[in-house]
Amino acid sequence: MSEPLLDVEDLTIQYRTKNGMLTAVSDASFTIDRGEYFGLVGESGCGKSTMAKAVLGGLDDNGEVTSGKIRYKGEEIQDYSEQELNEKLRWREVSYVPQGSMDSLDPLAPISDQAWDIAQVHTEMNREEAIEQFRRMFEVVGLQESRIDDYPHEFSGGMQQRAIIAISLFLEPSLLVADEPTTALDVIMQDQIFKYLDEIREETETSMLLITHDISVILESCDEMAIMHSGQVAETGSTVDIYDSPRHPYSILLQEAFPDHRRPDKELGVIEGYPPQTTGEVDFCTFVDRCPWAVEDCWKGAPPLEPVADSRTDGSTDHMAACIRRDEVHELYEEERSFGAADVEGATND
Amino acid sequence: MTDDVLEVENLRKHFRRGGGVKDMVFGRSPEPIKAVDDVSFALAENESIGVIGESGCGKSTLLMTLMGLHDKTGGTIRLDGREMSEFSRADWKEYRRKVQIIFQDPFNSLDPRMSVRSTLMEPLNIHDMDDKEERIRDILEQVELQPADQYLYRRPKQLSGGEKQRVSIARALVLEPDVLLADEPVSMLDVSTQASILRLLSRLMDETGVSMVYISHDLSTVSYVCDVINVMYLGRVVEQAPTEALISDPQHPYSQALMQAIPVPNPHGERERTEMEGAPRDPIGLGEGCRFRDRCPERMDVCDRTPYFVDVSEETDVEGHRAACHLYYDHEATDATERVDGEPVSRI
Repeated sequence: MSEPLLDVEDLTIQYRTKNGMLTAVSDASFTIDRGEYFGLVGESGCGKSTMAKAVLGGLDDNGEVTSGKIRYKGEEIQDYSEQELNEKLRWREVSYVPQGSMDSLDPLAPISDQAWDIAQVHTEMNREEAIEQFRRMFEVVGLQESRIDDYPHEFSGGMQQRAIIAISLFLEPSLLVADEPTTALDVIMQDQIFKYLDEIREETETSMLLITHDISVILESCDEMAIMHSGQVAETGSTVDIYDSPRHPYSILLQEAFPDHRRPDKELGVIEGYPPQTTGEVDFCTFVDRCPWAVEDCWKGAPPLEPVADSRTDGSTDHMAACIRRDEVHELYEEERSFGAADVEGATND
Repeated sequence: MTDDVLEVENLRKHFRRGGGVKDMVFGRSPEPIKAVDDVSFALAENESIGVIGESGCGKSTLLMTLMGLHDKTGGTIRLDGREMSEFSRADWKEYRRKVQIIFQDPFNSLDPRMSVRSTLMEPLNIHDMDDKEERIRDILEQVELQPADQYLYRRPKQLSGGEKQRVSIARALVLEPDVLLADEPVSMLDVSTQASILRLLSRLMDETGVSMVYISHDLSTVSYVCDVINVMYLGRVVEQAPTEALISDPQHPYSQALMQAIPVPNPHGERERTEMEGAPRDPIGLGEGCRFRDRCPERMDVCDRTPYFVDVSEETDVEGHRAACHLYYDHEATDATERVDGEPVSRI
């Protein structure tokens, strides 16, 4: 295997607050390969957006990477200065698709001007070349080229979001970081956007870090994924492995809780309790208070992210879970599943 | 008479737009925005009806109008057989006890300075109910905020999102209403607490016999609480069906596109991405005709005429399945039914 495009290793990010150092991300690790769509899912406050900001070098003023590494194409970027980030990374290598499309474009400038602004800062292109290239990106995301000089208000919400994706693809980055790119949109519009994102993956070698609370979007559209709970990566692996054989209690319960309109008989699970606020060094499993299978040892140290014993599908070793009972828990869950929901499950799970 | 609690018939809510100077000079008034245009449904006792649709389809306006926060432009709203426009002051007060709302955003719909107890006490005082303390305790137990003593004097900031929404539900139910209007009650909550609120709502419906109108853009959650679902598009209901029939066998091309576009939480799924292009048109100047026709894959010439809302139970074998689409009726033989824009009105 060649080196990954993005390698996040034991990353800890803390915010300075009145109440001490708030730990938003704690010893998190995952990797994204070239051309891979990677999903990061978790509840609000789990640190997924902080992770996105860290990858872009855009943490808020009171936030800092206190330990760990972020490697992009092999090079450590967590200590880059603003200037280095702008020269080497942003837009040309890593670009960003924010959540609120409605407030992410400058309402007073035509879309093409906004692309030109980026080109001026980050490339040597002249205006003609830049506009020509931007025109191509407009086509890629399914917008009419003739509309590149329109103002944002002339577009609908879905079109604005596509224009933003066009801007983020403009300088042909290798990695798109998309933070809830479709959450503000209706389902049909969301599906239109993902249709274009599917095509982009086929046509270019672009990778994506997709951050969302909606696990169904990730299961459908990504190759690999990680599930975060309160700053810790609970489980990471291919979407198929995590769907077929989740090994972290949180992954199991999260899937149980997720509604599926095609299965209205599905008994929705509830995860009791709430994620804790963590400060300073986190030396326990943050899920322990909510976990039905927790034992005393879960309090004695943060569980490391380790490969699961027998990943059933293709024998790859990239399926990892951070749970000391990861192999037993799976059996307990399997028992419950065959016991309770076999009749509904059988139809969808071959 | 039927035993329907709430009957809505050809309800219309149009918003006037301010015209320009020219319009003023020539005495023209611009065409209004038809946010809700001829919506009809009947809510039986202990029934839950869902209304789904994309943003801007008029579902929130519908709810506001039902609540009496907007004056309706036309049509009738009847509670226990009494029409809203004939309400006296006392009737209004009674209506506001019998019809309660649960708001979307539990983070902003509770007064931050009021304790749980005073939040629940206020409506009881207004409606002058007896045994206030006892009612408050009972309702807190019902919404699973137990033990009640621990919650009585908390303020919203001492509650989690799910707990806040439970307080909102308690506030709605403490007056023992007949109808609950729920405006996306779980969309602001994390998925781990969503399910518990949905379950709570179903259980409370069973226990109290209350009826519910549940509004959402997210079919996945609606399907867990509603018996019947209405699909709205640009102010009109385009399809109405029992939940299962709508999910398994949608008839209107818009409902079909909507179902198709919902992601499935399964990486083995073979769902095709949507074929639909574009977005709903501007709700201004909609004129005659089916409002979905500019995006419809089945578009025909006849779609320039406003479709009738017809029974499609022959297609689906499900009673009460209706759709407003030209595909499903014989154009020669439909004089007896109603058009969705209500012009030649006759009740089904």
